[in-house]
Amino acid sequence: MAGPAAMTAHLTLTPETIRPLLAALESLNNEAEARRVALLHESGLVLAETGEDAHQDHGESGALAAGTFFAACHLARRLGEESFSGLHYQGASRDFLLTAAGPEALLLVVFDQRTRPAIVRACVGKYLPALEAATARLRSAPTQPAAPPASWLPTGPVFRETSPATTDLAAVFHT
Amino acid sequence: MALVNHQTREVTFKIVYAGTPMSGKTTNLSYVHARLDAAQRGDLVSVATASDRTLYFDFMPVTSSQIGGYTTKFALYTVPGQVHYNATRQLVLRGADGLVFVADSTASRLEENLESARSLMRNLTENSTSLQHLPLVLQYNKRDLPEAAPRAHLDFLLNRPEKPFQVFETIAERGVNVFACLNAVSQLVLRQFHETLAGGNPTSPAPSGTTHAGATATIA
Repeated sequence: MAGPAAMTAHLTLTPETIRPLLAALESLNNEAEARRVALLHESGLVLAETGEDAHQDHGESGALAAGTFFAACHLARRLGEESFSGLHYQGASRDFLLTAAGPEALLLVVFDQRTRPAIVRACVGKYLPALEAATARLRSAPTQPAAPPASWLPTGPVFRETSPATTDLAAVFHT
Repeated sequence: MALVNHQTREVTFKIVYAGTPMSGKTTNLSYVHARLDAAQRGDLVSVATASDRTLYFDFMPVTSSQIGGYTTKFALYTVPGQVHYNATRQLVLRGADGLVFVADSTASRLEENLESARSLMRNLTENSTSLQHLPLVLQYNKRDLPEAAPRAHLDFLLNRPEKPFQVFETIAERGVNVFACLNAVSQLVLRQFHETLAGGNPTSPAPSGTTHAGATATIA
């Protein structure tokens, strides 16, 4: 999706750049009567989200959503579908719609029986241009962060190991 | 590619553990999950087969203490090592800010280490990036095995750029040097971020392996 130039610059969210993103996400969430709407970078990072279940995890959903999107994209291509743009998962109580939102972003909409997939799709189509435009502004030069002072760099370990008593690798993995 | 959120005062980086199949990449993450304060980490999400082989990736978000008034987060990923998961590996490597290459020290697996390293280099090239811009540390795992190859052999195979990469000899199952390796790559990522914002001028002499700009930067 993203080209070489886009791969090198940092993505910067400021109050000015995040405002139009959140406004579009909130409008989409309200009009579609969705539960949660999230804009993700293709790497799985959550750029912005809104809705009743927003901020319920620490990025796990974003990572899985990006993985799901690209796995489905590759499967579609292998099956001869060249213009894959998204997928809809229909669950017993929750559905989600995943769609591309510009060259390097993805849109995740979680919804339930309060609305219908066709309504969600129509609302996504309505707000995608605004979301794509707002996402493109995250890369524009004026929003790139200034260099923090050298004192910003930590001098000690970034992470510290806790006591050995908590170690049970098998339990960690199988729970 | 860091995500800087001035509104929530957070900076998020992505670190990927790549390497030889069954070399201990997932074990690294599960050890960190077990030994990191629960307030500093999220769930360890593993998209694995029934036999616990990594199918797509493992993922765990971790948060360091505040640095310069900003909460610094790292999204830790592993990628499957097997050759036939090349497309998956390439996708997960997108947007990575730092890499750990986990090699298996077992003498009989040296050729597989080499092939994995070459595959990683191809993945980076196809993603339009390189180790000249991406911090990497090498991890020689399973050092406790009696059949472990001497470190010099692994260095000869994997660590011969003009400016050698930092190497950690680990026993990930027991956690030996796992945190040291994570801390090293985290420090390199933070330093690289600082250097790119400062226009490529490091604020102090870089430790061995921090940046390979202008030097031959390749493993294998």
